[in-house]
Amino acid sequence: MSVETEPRLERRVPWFEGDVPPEKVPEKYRLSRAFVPKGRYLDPEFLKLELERVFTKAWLMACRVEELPGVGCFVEYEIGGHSILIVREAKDSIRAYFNACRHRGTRLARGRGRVGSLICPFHGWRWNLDGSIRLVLDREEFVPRSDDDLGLVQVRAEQWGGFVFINMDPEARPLLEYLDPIPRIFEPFQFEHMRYRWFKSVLLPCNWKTALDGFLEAYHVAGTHPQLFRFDKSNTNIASLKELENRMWAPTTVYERHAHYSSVGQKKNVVAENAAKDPSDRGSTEAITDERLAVALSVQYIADDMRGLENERSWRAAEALKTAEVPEGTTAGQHYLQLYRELSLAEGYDWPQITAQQWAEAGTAWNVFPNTILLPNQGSVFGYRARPNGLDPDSCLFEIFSLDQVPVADYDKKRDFQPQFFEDFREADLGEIFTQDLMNAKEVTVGMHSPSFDGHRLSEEQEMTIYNHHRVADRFLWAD
Amino acid sequence: MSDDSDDVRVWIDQKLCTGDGLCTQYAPDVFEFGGDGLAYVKDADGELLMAEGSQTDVPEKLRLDVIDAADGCPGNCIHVVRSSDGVEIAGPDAA
Ligand code: SF4
Ligand code: FES
Ligand SMILES: [Fe+2]
Repeated sequence: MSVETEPRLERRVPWFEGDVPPEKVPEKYRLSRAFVPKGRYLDPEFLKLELERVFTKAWLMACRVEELPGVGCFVEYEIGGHSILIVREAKDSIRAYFNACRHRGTRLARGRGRVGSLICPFHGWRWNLDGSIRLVLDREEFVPRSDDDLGLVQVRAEQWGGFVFINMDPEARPLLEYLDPIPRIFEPFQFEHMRYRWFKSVLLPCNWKTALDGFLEAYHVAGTHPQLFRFDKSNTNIASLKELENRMWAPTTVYERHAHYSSVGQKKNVVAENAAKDPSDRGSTEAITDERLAVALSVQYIADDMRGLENERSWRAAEALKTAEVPEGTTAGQHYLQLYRELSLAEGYDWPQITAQQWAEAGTAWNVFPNTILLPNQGSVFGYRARPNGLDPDSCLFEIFSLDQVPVADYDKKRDFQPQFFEDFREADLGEIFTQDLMNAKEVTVGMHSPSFDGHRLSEEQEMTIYNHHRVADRFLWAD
Repeated sequence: MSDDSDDVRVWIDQKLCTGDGLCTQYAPDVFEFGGDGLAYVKDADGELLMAEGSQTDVPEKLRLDVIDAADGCPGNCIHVVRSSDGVEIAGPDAA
């Protein structure tokens, strides 16, 4: 076994056509090779710049189409002091408006609900769902204004994968172009046929990017989630050196705007040069020589603890695997997928064939720039989203949602859904793994404020998702 | 055949109607605006019943939409009543 101790020098700093040259970035915020200065997280001034220049120009995941089942249903999306209403204005059309009255600016609607028309709570001006003005009391007393001038101001709203994204920049490129290559790579995972199982929001005492960074690499797994590859999942003592030897390795891949990491196997020194994500490889579990049991336990632990990414079908497939005859030439992991597939098809679920090549490209978790993370998987997926909480750089609203594929017969079925909010994540019943992740938020923030700390020193192989976010942000922040 | 005891009728108290149009989003086959901006119910042929407080039969497949409209009506003025005995099952006078 060869052990690498020196960094490989041919590794290049990610650079894409249209990137901002370093000298255009103020020195205190300037990125250098695998290094992110801490001011980009801690300075209130930097947060203001993000709010002005990133969130007003990037496509932002605002809600799911399923949250707007009927005409007149609306969801309010708030970002950095802006409020935007996403409204189903017709059976086949969803629009977004700035949530501001044309009379004296009052916010028109809050939260979520269903209305026949939008009615200002102050003086009662009214708009049709298509944003056109319907009623101005005593209109003859006002300077004559066109209906256009009095109509609600639209925000771009486009859809992909069952998500509604909004963009406040009328000049922005179309959503699908912006998301490239995600729509192509995610295609076989059928996000449009996924529906919420649950959605929880929590306040975290950290920068909105710190919340996301914790889910943009799997380098922390050995340190933060030592129980993952143990037989006894209740043992959360820090990993032994022996266990570290068997840790998973998860290289990152960056694209022009988005990036992902991919858990590909055990420890970089033993995985092949071109290793790729393989859904039948679940990592080893110590002290278990029956491979069937190791696979089954890891599936069931995720299903039971995280309540997402796996589901009750994959749980049952894992249960069946424990005593299954695994055919010669097939691994336990492959056989598990076979059982999961048969179960799904028998119960009315579509099972798209996902090739090894497609799995390799899909990887484990994607940063959808700027503030969303999606984890593609067959049958069930996770998504995360983070938003600044007011103008405090050390506080954010962090959201986790679990989506499940629905049976083919239910594609058009409407369902009730309520997101949940918890001020304290410890009350949110998020399970051991998420709790371990979220515990880090405060510790990272306190440590980053130390005068001794200057910025993130990132792994060039396993943490470039984090670097990439900042590189892309620079394109918004310092473009002419 | 539907069970008769479940059949419902619906009427609107136009005095209280806000004209916001929630009901016409829920069940456009049952509710529609008149020229005066108030909501009215329609008969089986789609004719607007302009007499205040007119009742119309609700087709079974629209029953839940009509009940949702009554529950959400900002004017609290949609009354859904059981056809058999006139008891209000959704609306301001429902138990
Ligand atoms: S929902 Fe009620 S208040 Fe609104 S238009 Fe219909 S009947 Fe009138
Ligand atoms: S502020 Fe909205 S009607 Fe006056
Ligand atoms: Fe984690």
